[in-house]
Amino acid sequence: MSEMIDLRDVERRAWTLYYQDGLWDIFFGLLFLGGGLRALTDNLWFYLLVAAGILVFILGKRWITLPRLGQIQFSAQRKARTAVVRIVALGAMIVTAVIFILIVTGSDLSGLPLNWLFVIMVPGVFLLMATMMDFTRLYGYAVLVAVFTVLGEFVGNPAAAWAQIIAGLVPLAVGIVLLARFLRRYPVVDEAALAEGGDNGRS
Amino acid sequence: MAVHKVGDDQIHPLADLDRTIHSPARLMIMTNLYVVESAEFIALMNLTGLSWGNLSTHLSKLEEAGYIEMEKGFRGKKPYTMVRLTGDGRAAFKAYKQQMQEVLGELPD
Repeated sequence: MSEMIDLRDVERRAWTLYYQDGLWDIFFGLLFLGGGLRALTDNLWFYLLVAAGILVFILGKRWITLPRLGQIQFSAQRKARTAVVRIVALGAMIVTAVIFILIVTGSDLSGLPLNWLFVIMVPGVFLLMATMMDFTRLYGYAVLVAVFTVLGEFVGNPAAAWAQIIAGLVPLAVGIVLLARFLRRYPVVDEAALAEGGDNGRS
Repeated sequence: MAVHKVGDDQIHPLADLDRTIHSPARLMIMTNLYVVESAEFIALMNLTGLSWGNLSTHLSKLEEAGYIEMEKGFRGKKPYTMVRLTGDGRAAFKAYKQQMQEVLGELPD
């Protein structure tokens, strides 16, 4: 039977169903776009677009995805994999914040290979997310992140900024297309209406 | 034309299959519930492709057999139903999986 039904594949399909809404793509798109625009203009764009990305993601999951797909509680193993990603991502953010604070406070970090640290760490986090979260599109985004991080660390602006803006537009466009398809494919389901009116409770 | 008579020992594994699970729709439901902790009714509709009426009927049968339990709740004002396999349901699915492996594994190519 293991040849007929691959239980891991069944679980993976249930898990990846939630990536069909395109909200992660929109979030990353806005994040990269904000980073690129900040380098060319000022911090305001970055704050605005990151805030927009977080809002779209949280509100979208709550008001768009959940009423259409319903909720699934995944296995302890799946939760552990997600926890690893969260811990590593948080660790990377802490390392970045510490380095930023040290630079701002005038510490001498010239002896440290910070360029290489970021070139490895940032795309590395995306690769880890892609693998641990079974999120295939993130491999592609990891490549985009690697390109603009390398440019940022070794070439500088405006080339790096433009690369980051383009890297933001790609997932943003993918996310918008996926979201539109998701809205068409999965109508809102009202259990109460279904219980009363049979299968006409989809709106 | 020669008729091959199937021996009792070959019939029994198939005859013993759990018929509650052995319907395509219920097998899909059980398989999906086996790989997660619990799933909302709507999620099961999306995962199995079953209509509300069909899913409802099959879930009732599985609930009668003691294989699943359903828990009603509210998200804001909207009702929802969470479905999970019971211990018996998980054991029954494991046994069914084992039986199918034995039966199909012995078939010639």
